[in-house]
Amino acid sequence: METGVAQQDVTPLPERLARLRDGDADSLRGVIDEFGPKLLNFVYRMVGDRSAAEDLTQEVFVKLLSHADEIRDERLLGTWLYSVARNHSINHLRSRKTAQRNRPEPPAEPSRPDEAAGRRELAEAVQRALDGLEEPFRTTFVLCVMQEMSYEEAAQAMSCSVKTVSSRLFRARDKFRELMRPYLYEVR
Amino acid sequence: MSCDPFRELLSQRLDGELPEDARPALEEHVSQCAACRGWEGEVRRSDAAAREAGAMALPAGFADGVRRVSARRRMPARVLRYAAAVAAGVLAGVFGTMALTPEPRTGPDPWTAADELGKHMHASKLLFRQAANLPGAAGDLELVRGEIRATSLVERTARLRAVPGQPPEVRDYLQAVEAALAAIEAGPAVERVRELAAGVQLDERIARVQQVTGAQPRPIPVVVEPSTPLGDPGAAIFAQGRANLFAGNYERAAALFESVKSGPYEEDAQYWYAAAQARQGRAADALRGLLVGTAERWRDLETAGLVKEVAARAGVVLAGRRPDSLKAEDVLAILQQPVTVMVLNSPRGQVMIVSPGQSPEAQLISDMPGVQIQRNGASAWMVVDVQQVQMDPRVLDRIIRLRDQFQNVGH
Repeated sequence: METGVAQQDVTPLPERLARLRDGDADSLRGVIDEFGPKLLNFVYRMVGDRSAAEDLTQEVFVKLLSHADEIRDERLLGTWLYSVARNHSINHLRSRKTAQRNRPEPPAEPSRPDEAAGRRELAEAVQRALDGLEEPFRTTFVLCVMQEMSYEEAAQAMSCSVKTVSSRLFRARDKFRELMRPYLYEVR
Repeated sequence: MSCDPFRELLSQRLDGELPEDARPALEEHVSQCAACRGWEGEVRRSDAAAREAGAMALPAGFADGVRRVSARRRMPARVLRYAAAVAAGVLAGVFGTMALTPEPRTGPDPWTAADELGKHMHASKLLFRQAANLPGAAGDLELVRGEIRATSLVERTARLRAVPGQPPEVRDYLQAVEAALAAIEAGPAVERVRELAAGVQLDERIARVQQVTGAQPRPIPVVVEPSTPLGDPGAAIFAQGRANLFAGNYERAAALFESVKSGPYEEDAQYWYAAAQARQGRAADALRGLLVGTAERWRDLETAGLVKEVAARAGVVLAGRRPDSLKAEDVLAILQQPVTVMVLNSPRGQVMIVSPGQSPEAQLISDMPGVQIQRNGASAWMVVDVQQVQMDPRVLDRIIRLRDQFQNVGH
């Protein structure tokens, strides 16, 4: 089964990963441009805390720089990043025992005040519902629904089978739907 | 029958993941099950809400932050990597098997990558500082080469270069050092070595390495070189002396070299004794080693240049002349014959007089109280306490004239 995290082998390091390993600024910027926003939002939805999400996402890329030479297939770069991001998020949630979770913040640059209020309510509702999803259902939901990842990609990121992804996603969707029902019927 | 299997298929259909062979059964069920149709409708709406909830944008300077944090933490990762490499035997060699201290030990010197890098920086700092300040004496160049060998700096550089995943600042530093070492070993002129040493811009490079890795220069511990035949006390002492010299423990190094009175290392020890004393500003002792004790094979133009330099700094009279008025060839001519060195200690300071052969002054006072003489073959080293010696007035006059010539030189 594909684990999602590259296995050590003797093949030469792909050029982009080699440059990353060597700390090449342009390569890092390229990878961040490609994966950074998605990873940040994934982590944000996982932990529900904007500041923590930024820190954790930064940690993911920091780890990438020191472990780039462990990823022998560039196609697995995204999988590796999500896998690390997920682990970081779960560890963060575990370590955050009593701290009050920050409320989700409004999305950037709303055009009108009433739109801003509506978006804020929606963001809060979504985050509350996500908070109500247990692991690994939350990860599955965020990856497949919010990040629109394929089952295969999600399976790699979570080190599980495609069948497991499908099963988890169904349950996650069902639960999320239930948790979102008050918002969907009251607000919309 | 539970609707769950069909709802999982509906979930798959929403994502475009429904297998074709499952479609007919799903469509048949959905056409007959209002609850599943309702479920699918709600899921579509909740999914849409999740996607519309807004996205965060990366904060400004995110990439720079990643690089900064990475640079701060990179060294611990390297430490682990080096340790793993050692465990795998990749770095077996000087670090693993040759780092033996004189004290009995059960295993190799414990070390980390940061330590090793720190030692490397310390070694190269001393080396290049010396190379950059070569006074023009080829003897100093030999000292530089000797230190390169004594510290295994070439090998250390190569091994650190071979470790994968070095930060670019470390690779740049190692690459520059490697190139300069190769050039020095190739034997360019002293002037060229000075240029090389300056061109390396070592301080700047080391500062960058320190900033990125956090590694600090640290002295190389006393090591016994791999070629040293263990069990030979003289050889071991000699090796310790060189290690101490490089580590900056000049006093200890000089003591060790001086203690090697016999054996195959005696000749080298004389030279290195002088080098150790010269390093700590003890020109008199340095010259004692170079002029009186140094073996024949060191009496070449390079050593002559070193003698001239040390003597000039110390205000030593060489055959009645200021060293800076002498060519290296003249100094060599002095060295190639027996010399008498008179060290005159007086309240006004110390004066050294180097004379070819046995100077008449030296002969006159050699038996007097207050005169200590060390002989090495036909050469002599005399330490004279001017206050105690009852000198012939003519000798004293001459000595005083010589002393007054250099009265501003305190050494």
